Amino acid sequence: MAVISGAPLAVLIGALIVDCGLVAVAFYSFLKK
Amino acid sequence: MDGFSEYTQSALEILRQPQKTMHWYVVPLLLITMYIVTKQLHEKNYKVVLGGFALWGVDIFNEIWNSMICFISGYAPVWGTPVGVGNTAWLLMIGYNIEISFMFLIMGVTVCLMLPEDPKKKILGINNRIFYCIVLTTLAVIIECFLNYCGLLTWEWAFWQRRSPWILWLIGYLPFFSTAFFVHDRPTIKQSAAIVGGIFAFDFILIVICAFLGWI
Repeated sequence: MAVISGAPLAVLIGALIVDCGLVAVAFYSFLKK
Repeated sequence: MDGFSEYTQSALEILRQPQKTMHWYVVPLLLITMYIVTKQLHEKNYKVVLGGFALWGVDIFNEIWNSMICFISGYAPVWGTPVGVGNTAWLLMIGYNIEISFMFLIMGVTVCLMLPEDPKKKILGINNRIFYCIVLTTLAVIIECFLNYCGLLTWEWAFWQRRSPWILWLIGYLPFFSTAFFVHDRPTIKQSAAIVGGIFAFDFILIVICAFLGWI
């Protein structure tokens, strides 16, 4: 199993930020009164 | 890295080469998908269709960054669809085939049809949108793990394995369902369509950049 690092890790972190951002916006709207 | 993994090499041999891999079943699969979408449009379920397209578009975003990791690392995608097991009819990106593509569009429409009319209704004390996000994401990850076990999906990075499925859960599926439901619940069709348009515009720009850089 390879361990991710360097530029591929940066891509993964970018993807995490976008995906988690989508989840955060959606969940906020679901829970908003 | 010492070059592309064996699984990745096998997938690269058929990447976007439908003349080597095409099967007849793709045509009826296309028609089934068209029927599902057309049926919803006829019933004026525009929110359901747009929610479905939102899920499809967010998956395409994930498929793009998966491809980027493959080509930037020169080793492997986070998830791959190799030759030999579950042969695809058309490999569109390194971990994304035509069957997965149709599946995600059908999935998007299907999950939006499951939603209760009232977005604030609670199930087991939880907001129903969040309830469905959690349940559907968990089911989808279980199916992904099964596909990996069967060899249809290869996972060659240490952080993306069956023993640690939480990251699959967090970025593999949760954004799909939550974005689909968010788009579905917008007060106007115009707003839903604008968000879907934004998702596809973002995907398109990323694809153009990645194509230019040889990352797709």
